[in-house]
Amino acid sequence: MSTDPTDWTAEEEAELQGLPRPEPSRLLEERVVRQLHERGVLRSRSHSPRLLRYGVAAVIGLVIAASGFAAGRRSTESPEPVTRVVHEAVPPPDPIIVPADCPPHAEPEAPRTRVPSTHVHAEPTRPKPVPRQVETDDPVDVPPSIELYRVDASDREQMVLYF
Amino acid sequence: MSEPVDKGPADQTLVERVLVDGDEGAFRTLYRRHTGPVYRFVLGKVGHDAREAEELVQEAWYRAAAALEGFEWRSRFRTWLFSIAHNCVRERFRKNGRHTTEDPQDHEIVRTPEPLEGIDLERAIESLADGYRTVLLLHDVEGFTHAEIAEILGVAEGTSRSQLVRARRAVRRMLRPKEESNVD
Repeated sequence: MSTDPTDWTAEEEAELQGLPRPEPSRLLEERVVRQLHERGVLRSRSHSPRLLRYGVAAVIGLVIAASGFAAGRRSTESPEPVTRVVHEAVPPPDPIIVPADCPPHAEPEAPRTRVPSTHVHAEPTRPKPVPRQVETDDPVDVPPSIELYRVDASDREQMVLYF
Repeated sequence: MSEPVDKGPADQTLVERVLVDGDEGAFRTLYRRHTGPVYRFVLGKVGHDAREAEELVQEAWYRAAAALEGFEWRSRFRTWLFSIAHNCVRERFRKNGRHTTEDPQDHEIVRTPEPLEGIDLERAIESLADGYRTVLLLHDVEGFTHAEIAEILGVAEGTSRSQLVRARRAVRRMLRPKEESNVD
């Protein structure tokens, strides 16, 4: 019970609370916040440095996890086992047989290199390489420029003559 | 009459966040909780010049933030902020050669001497002299105690009490002239 005769009645009180309440502009809040940022009182917007650190750590973790997952997926999705073509190695040619009566410093017999065309059954054709495909998992990498050829016996004789 | 219900964190928690982390979110919560009443208080003081009132409120917040570390919580944050705003107003008036009616004992209670018939409460309060109006609004609308009003305005607590009684009577007289003339 009120003792002060000047106390408001319930009706007056309600009227008092219903008085207009002007508010400052929204810009004022931004001005105040900006000013306090400039003076170093405030730091980040609605994120404490601690929260910011947690956020950055979480993002970095996600990036690392995603990249690891992608790398793992790429290796498992490799379409076929690596197939490498390794050309058959050819054994070294037979040593040149020199006749016993050949003088030690004999001049090379030039005509010997000239063989009558009638003795040659055909123009020596360059044999086509016969690659052999070998499936291997070894990381052997043969340069494609190296090509070895299979040579048959007649060709060998011919080669000896050329020497 | 009472402080508006606000279920956010306590002022002291928010202030600590501002001080420790420079937490902008905490500051905005504080700002939104208290700026409206401070603005209305200042607006009444400067004769409803909204631009000037905003300048003063901005200055008050800046001073409060700068002095936040030294605030010892012997009064409510709200009371402290109002007193800072009041000082800002006084300094502005002094600088501009204006004067406030801080001590209503020396002034008329009502700026318009003759009671006005048929006016509403808002106009009646508006007609009060500055000091009386301030006490009435701080006590009856913003919910401050006399001790708090004394702290804000820098007057004795008894002065606040007597001003309130006179202000209420003056308002009643304006609203219901016949009733109040019988009481007096």
